[in-house]
Amino acid sequence: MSIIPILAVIVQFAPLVGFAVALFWGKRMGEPRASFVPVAMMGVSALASIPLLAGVLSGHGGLFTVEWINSGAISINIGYMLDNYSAVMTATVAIVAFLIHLYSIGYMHGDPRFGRFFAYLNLFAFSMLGLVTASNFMQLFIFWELVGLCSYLLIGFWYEKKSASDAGIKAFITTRTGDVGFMLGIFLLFALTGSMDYDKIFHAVEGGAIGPTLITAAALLLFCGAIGKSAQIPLQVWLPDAMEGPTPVSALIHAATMVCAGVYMIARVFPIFEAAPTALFVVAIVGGTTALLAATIALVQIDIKRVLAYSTVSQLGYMILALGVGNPVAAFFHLVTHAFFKSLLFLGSGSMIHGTGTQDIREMGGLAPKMKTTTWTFVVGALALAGVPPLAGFFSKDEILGSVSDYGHWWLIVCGFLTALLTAFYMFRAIYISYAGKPRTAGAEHAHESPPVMTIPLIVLAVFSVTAGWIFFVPGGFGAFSGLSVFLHHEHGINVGAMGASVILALSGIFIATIIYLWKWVDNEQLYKIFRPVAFVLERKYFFDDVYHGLLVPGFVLFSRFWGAFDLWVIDGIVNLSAFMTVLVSRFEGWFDLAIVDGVVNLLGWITRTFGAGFRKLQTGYVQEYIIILGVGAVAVILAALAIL
Amino acid sequence: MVYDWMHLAPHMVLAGAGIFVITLDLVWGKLGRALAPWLTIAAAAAAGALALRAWGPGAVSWGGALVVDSLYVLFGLVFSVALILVTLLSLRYWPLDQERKPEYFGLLLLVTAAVYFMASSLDLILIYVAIEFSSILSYVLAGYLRRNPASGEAGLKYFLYGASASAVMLLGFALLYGMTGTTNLVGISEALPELGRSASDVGYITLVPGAVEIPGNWALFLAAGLVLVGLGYKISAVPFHMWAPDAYNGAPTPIAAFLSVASKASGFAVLLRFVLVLHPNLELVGGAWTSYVSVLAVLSMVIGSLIGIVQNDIRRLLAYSSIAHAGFILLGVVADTRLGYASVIIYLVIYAFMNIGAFGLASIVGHITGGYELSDYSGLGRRRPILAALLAVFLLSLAGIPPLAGFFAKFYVLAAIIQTGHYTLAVIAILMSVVGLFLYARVLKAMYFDRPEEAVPEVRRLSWAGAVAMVLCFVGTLAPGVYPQPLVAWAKEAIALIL
Repeated sequence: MSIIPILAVIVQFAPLVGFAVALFWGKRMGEPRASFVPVAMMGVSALASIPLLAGVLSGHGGLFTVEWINSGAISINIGYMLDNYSAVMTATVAIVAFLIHLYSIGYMHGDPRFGRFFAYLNLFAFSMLGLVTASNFMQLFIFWELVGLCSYLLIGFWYEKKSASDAGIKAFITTRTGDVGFMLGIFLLFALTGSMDYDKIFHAVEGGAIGPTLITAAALLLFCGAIGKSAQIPLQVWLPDAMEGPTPVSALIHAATMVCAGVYMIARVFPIFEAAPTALFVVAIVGGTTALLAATIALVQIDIKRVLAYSTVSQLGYMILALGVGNPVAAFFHLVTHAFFKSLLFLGSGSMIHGTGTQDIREMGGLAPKMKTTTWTFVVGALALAGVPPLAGFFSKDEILGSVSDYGHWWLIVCGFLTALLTAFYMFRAIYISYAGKPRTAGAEHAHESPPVMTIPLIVLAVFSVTAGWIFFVPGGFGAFSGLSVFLHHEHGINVGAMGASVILALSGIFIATIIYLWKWVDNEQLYKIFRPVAFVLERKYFFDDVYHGLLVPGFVLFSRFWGAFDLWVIDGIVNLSAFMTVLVSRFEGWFDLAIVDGVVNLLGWITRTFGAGFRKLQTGYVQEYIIILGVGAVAVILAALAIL
Repeated sequence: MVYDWMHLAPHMVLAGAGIFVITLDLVWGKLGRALAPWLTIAAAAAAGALALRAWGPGAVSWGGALVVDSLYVLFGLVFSVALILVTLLSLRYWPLDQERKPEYFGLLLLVTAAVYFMASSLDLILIYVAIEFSSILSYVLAGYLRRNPASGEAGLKYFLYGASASAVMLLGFALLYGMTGTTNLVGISEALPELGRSASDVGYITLVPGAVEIPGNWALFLAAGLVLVGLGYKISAVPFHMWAPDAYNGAPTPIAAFLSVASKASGFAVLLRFVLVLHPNLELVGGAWTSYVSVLAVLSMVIGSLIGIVQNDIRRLLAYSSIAHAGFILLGVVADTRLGYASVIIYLVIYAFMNIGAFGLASIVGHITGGYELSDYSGLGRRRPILAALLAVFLLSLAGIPPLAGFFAKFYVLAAIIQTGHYTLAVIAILMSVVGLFLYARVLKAMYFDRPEEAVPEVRRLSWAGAVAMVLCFVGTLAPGVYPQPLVAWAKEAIALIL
């Protein structure tokens, strides 16, 4: 047996050990000892992921499975699919997760549930690594739900805050809505191919065993899962609210790893999407539109974490867009570089929040001289995000924009390039407001640099944010490195036009932000007044939340209340009617009705006397109702069965 | 004619122990009261072990009235497990302390004997008597708390409703007997082809506004519908569910757990017995069976999930949840394949653990705090982290979140109906499983996210017996999720042996 699957087991299961220890003994060990085992276990995982990556890249990867369920019609294997693609992702997840674990020791200092936090983080890392290395849809789905569960637990970690617990519930419900489609898609593929294994399904798809309509339906249903998980329109609403969670969680789960699961999943099962061009077009439109809309919303945010959250939605839109235009290499490349610089930015914002005690950028100002490390690493992250060469984001974003230009749809080109401009603008707007100028509040006045346990991860991530893109210069580019280039049917050369345009747009975005927010050539207030109607729409986030809260949620509650009421009151009317009819008929029937009605009344009186006041409900005749429903129901079921015969 | 006493051994152990336990109180007083629950558990375990001997393709005895086969074995094990868990839960449940406890355990044993009979009878008369026997004892148990008016109300409502439902079912039995001249299911099955042919001249009934043609015999169609009323009541499927929320609400909570699992499973046992015996000639009812069952399944899933959302009492909430689960289980019957029937059994076994777990925690929390409202659960995650975590596991399993066992239960049912091409039903089922999530999320939200408005006092201590029961349920909820293979293989073998 080769060493590769053993390494994979260590990488995935080490955090589970940490989880168990922190869960059961975390409280007793107290701070900071409760973090030792989880952080050490994550370190083991990150360390083991490097030889795993090296082994797989040198050609020792493959499919390692064992039989799990075998019962004739259904046979499911579990195991690892370790190719270049999953190995790169595994290493990224493990390393970023380790750095964020480390950072959390400082950030969660003094929290009453210190140990519990590390338990959840470990459980998340375990689940995410399982998702990445899954070899079939069943395993993917199980871990898909588990990472979701960790996400809800961690968003609502400070459940004393109502907004935090509401955000947890919102994330739960919204992503599950997308999962309905995902589940249906998985079952559809299962029904069509009789298997859950990726390779068997790919084989069936490539062999043309599935008709074009069904494969498009399956691809679109799977995409629903990605829409929910990766916060694409129209299910993007949960991710900004998820910022209620502790900042390391925002960095790890809601920027670097979990939210990318949708992108990862589509690239993983790309043969299915490749066979469905219509579905890919829908993917591209959703991705492009999300990228643009989220970037515009980010322009007006005043909460540093929300700026980054909308930025994340927007960048995820980029990745989805890249998938849609048929370039999973670019999507995955951007996923990896984004993981580094976005977690850097989130951790940087966490350091700012830690130092000033506020998330509102208007209450900061003048932080640069007081928080030197945080400042320069944050600027590095912002430059990488804006796509300034030679930082990581430049290479991956250029790949995407190049493919979008080649694809040639006008709306996607508009979305892609305009978003590049807006991204640079909103990042530097936030930087100038918070770091430049004079401190505007006492909190900003007394800001202090964070402890080394927080700044060291910032420095490491900054180094990655600069260098991660240089894989581009490896022979064959990132495509060969990730093993995804098999999906590219023609070589995407360097698109000089797109590259030049994206650099110019990024620099102009930074320049405009500098004019408005640093040099203040234009009066900010005046500008806001002119654009007030636009700003209103943006501040209301295009009214998505208003529509959901105003229409869907009450409608749904009303609907279930209606059925509840139906059970109790509408039937009451029917009963009263039938009682009335009974009386009417009995009038005609002389002595007979007297005996019956009297008898019933006497019986009721007897029951009442016997069982006392607690039976008030019964006196109103509910049981009679029930039995009438039994009769009506029996007839209705027989008729309904007849109708569908 | 074979009269094999060994086939009756589990039934007789249970019934004998039941009668013995009831008299214990009178004869041995205090010692008897202490012994009663342990005798109950021992008898349940013994019955399960004796039933295991019958594993196989089926042996008919007692004049063709009794059958013991692998299906009966699996159901018997579910009943025994349910009885053991419920006995542990009842041991220290405080409202019972004011009542005669040995009698309570005796009645539980007798109900279990009755449901054992339901799972092993092959004759309409025996089926009817067993159903009545189990129902009447259940009414008594639901109304067992004489000092609590709600309990009395539950018992009486349950009784009135059950009596009506079983009367309708009896009418269906009578029709079957009238048409075939026999009360034996095997005989009825053999008579069906004849009926199907001879009835071609009365092959339709006229309905306003037009004529609907039924292939086959419409009296048979009617009889099937009437029988389903009685079984629908037993498994609490919509529209025959009205009794369940009230009964679960008022009954002692361990009894609610028992009713929602053992009583429901016994209904499914009879339903499976019907369809499996009649299976070769089932299509002569003209697809009516499938359409009947799918109507019940859809209604149960939709109404159960939707109404459950607005409930504020955890017992009512779980009652609607159990109604929705009845709908999911019925999907396996709709599939009408080996996989479908196996999925029914898989579902029931998993459901037994997770649902007794959920009801058991409702009972334990009710025991500790004296309350069953959702507001009594706010902040439970902080006050009682382990209890809250267990309840969360059971609820998430009921909601079908992988990798808990509830996910696999739903997975197999869905796999079965997708295999047979019932895509509409599959879509409805998946949608309703999401709606069901809202239902359970409300409890989770209360436990973990809500702050209690005032401190919830703990008036009684957690009993170790209840804790043991919950640990067993936890294992039963986790193990089939992590490694479903043995359960799946077993259920499939059970069906393969008889179908």
